Amino acid sequence: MKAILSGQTAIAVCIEGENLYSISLDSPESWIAHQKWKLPHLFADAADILQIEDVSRSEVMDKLKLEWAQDRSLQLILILLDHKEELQTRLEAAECLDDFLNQDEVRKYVENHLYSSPLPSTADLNGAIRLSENSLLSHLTEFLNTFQSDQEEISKRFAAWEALPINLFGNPTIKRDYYYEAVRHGAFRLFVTEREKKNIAVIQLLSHPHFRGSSKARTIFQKWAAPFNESVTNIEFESQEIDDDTNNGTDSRYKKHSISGFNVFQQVEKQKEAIKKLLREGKQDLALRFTKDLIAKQRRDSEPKHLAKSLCDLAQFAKSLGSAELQLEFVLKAVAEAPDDSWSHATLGDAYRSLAEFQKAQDEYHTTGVLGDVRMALVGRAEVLKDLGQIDEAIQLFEQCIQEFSDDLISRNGRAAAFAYNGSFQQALDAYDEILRIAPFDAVTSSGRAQVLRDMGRLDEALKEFGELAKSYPEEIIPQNAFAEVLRELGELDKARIALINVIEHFPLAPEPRAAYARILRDLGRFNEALSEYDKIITEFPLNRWAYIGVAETYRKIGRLPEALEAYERVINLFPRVTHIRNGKASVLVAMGDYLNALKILPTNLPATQSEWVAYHIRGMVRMRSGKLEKAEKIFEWGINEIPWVSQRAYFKTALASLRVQQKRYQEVFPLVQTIIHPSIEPIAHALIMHASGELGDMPRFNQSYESIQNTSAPVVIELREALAERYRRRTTSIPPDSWFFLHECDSLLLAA
Amino acid sequence: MKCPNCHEEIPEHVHDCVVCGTDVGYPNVRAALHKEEVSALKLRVKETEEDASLRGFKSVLDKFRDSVAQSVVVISCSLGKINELLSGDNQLYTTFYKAIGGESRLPEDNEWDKIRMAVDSLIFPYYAEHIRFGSLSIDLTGISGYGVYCMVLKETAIKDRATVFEENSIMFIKKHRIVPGDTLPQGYRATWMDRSSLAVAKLGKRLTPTTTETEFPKLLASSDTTDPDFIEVHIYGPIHRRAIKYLSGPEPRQKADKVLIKSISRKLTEIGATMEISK
Repeated sequence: MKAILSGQTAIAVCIEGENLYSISLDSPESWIAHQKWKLPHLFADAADILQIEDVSRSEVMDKLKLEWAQDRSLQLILILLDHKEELQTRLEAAECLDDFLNQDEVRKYVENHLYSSPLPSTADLNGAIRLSENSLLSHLTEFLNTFQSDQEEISKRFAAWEALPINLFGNPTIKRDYYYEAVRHGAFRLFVTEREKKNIAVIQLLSHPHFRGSSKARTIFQKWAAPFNESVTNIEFESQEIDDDTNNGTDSRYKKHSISGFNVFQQVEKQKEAIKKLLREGKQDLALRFTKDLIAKQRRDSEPKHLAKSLCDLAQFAKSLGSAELQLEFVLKAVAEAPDDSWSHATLGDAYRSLAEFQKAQDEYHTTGVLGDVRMALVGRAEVLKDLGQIDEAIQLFEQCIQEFSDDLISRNGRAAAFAYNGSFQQALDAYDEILRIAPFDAVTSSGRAQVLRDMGRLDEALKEFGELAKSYPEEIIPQNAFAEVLRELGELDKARIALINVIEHFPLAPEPRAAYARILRDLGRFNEALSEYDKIITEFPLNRWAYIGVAETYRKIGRLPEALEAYERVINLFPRVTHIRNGKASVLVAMGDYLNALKILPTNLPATQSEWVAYHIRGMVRMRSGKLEKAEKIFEWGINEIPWVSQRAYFKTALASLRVQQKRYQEVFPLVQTIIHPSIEPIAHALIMHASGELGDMPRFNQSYESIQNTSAPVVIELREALAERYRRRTTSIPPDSWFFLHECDSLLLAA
Repeated sequence: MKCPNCHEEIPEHVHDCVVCGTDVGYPNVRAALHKEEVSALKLRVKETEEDASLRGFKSVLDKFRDSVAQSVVVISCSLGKINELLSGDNQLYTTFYKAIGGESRLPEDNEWDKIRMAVDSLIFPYYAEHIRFGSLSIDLTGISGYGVYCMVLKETAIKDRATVFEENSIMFIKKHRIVPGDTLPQGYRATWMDRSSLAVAKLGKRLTPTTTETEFPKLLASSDTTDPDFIEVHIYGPIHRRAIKYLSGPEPRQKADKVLIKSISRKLTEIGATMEISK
């Protein structure tokens, strides 16, 4: 059910089909039925109307109470600050506010607005504070005192905003609209309240879901922050006095027994191994109980930082098994034990990154820097920027890091990888070569370099390099896996399969090669075997989400959509915090024609992360498949121009090519898709070339593309290929109709890519 | 249409000539004054008067007309909105509450726009955002389903820029099955000063020889929660706080709203308006 509500009017309306049911805060017991056309009248000129989806009536009521509290709090504080108001009225406003400001969301809402501008001279803040103090309203008093002490900074930030040139926005109306957005999402408040924490405000805003997908918003915030020497690429951190008490063990939980360090170490390692074994077996509840014992023991026998390291180690192990949720759970414990341990905060940042909670990740990396590990903080921050597609900023930050820490390979590798993301492949190769001159035997660098060759389509060279790496570093799994992947991309599926069998033998406890093997089986058209293999992985590695996803993707590829949907729902239930899984489910829903439910689970903000770009592409597919070609065109064209990841651009190009076929603009298809080499999309690209060249009578090109589509491609693509051959070779134009081809081309992109 | 000053062609929806800047009047008022609209309304009125004469209640009709000639516009709204409106000149509000104006968070393809846009494009093409809605009232009450607080506006503040419409505009579109591209049936709107003609045309045939004056208010505006029937008033441009003459409504239940009422009371007194809050 969806609902529309307004705090200002204190009314909510639930929309159930063609019926409306309204409720007001003044009469919360009775829902009144209305006809749908009354909707605009119920809210009249309310300025704060909000629509929410998939809610129950009780959730609507809760939301309405919050929205109302927010609106009234703002109105009441303005009454409180107004010297013209009667004293009694101001006092009653203060009493109400003292209650309201207890709610975090209400407080933030009021701050968001109050911090957006300096107080006008008519405001009686001193009077409000006196009134509040005299009435012993502690929450309100604290709020007002803080607000007063922040006035100077508010003025500065507001002046800086006003000074932003109009051409940065486009015109005054757009600047005004950005102002409203900045107020609503707390940008002014953040800049003021976080001013002591260098750069964190601008970092948070650039990671904010509402703003991070807009390069214009990012530019605006960075220009706004610049006069204050705040920047996402600034490498300064505020200093923090470290609480030595924690590490000295004055915490009463930490009582030292006299046991030798080595014995303690041995015992801890034993306990950790036992926990890891349980995790591998999927017995996470038991593992967590054992962890409690580990914590109790290490509190007795060790320092907090040692316990934190144990917990971080377990966190990383959980990550290697594929469970970002467990990774988070372990590392939160680590931070609780040793809040001043920079390594724990960095690990926590990594856990939040895995869960796509980028603002929290940035907070943790910032804390890491404050606690002294500046290098790790900057690398973490840069990696998050990369995740958000802010690759230029990431590169700048890596370069700063390299200047500060010239021996550090991680930032150098990060920068090289960022170049590759941006499509600056030669720069990436040069950067990797530079690292290899310093550290010729670094496996990570060599792997990164080989990966760039792969991204460039120089697969033979990539294969050679991965092969050499695999020989030189037999204990490193990444080059082994990558070698098999490149074989796959070269179409050497049997060789890839054999390579993976060897990797699995060598690394029996690693789920990644097993999942890759299952995928090869799928690529070979051995779908049932693939499903069986994924089921085995699930049994052996129950925490690893990739096997569950593999099952869903296999069903999706072979067109068994109800099973695919069920499989995606299982993954989402098991791993609710991993949001990118919803993209797969949405693709299936779109292919089933269920556009409404597909759109419901996709994010609505402008895309920033890779997962959000995939979701955006699916939105475009919804438009296209439902016949809204102009809207689809806008989405695909924008995607081609704006997506930061060169490798992902191919999805938008292919979608636009499909649209061009639909628009009968056949000549425009070829430049869009003829250079696509991505193995997932290449067959679909060829199918579109077949269609376009068939229409244009270019049979040599048609035949070439026909031959390029392997028989092991997804069934929907094979079906399309054969139908196109039937139509254009045998000239049977009537069956199937154009609409069939259109839907199949859409579904190829949704299911097979 | 042509600008009366520079004689250039100008769009129908503008208030000022796009060429020379002359005030060309309010588009809703100009729409009501179109020859065809006026003739069609006159015809409806004539038919009603003839019917009244035949059925012997012409005097009741005349009383009804006189009563409507004294009617006012009432805007039904919420407490929060009233306080915002009354604080329009207050620097604190203009500084900190203005951002609320950009707070509407409706997604594309929302329910709101689906309903509103179809109607607005037909009745107020290109100027719907400038229109404020009210209802015509004899007894100072509004349509309770649209807001429990009723603001009565001063006639001087609206008479030149308000028009009246047969009924709720959305209902009208539905009833007449009008779709984008159709022309509106004529004779269903009038200027403010001619509102009694519209009321006679719409409601005259519902009068009987025994209809009393005490029944006129409910005839003009019924607050039936399922199907309110009223004459809709369209006011071009924003409502200034000093346009408010009178406010009425119930005592609120929430403490915060009681504080708002006190502030509203003070602000109304400041502008010479009155208020009646019922327990």
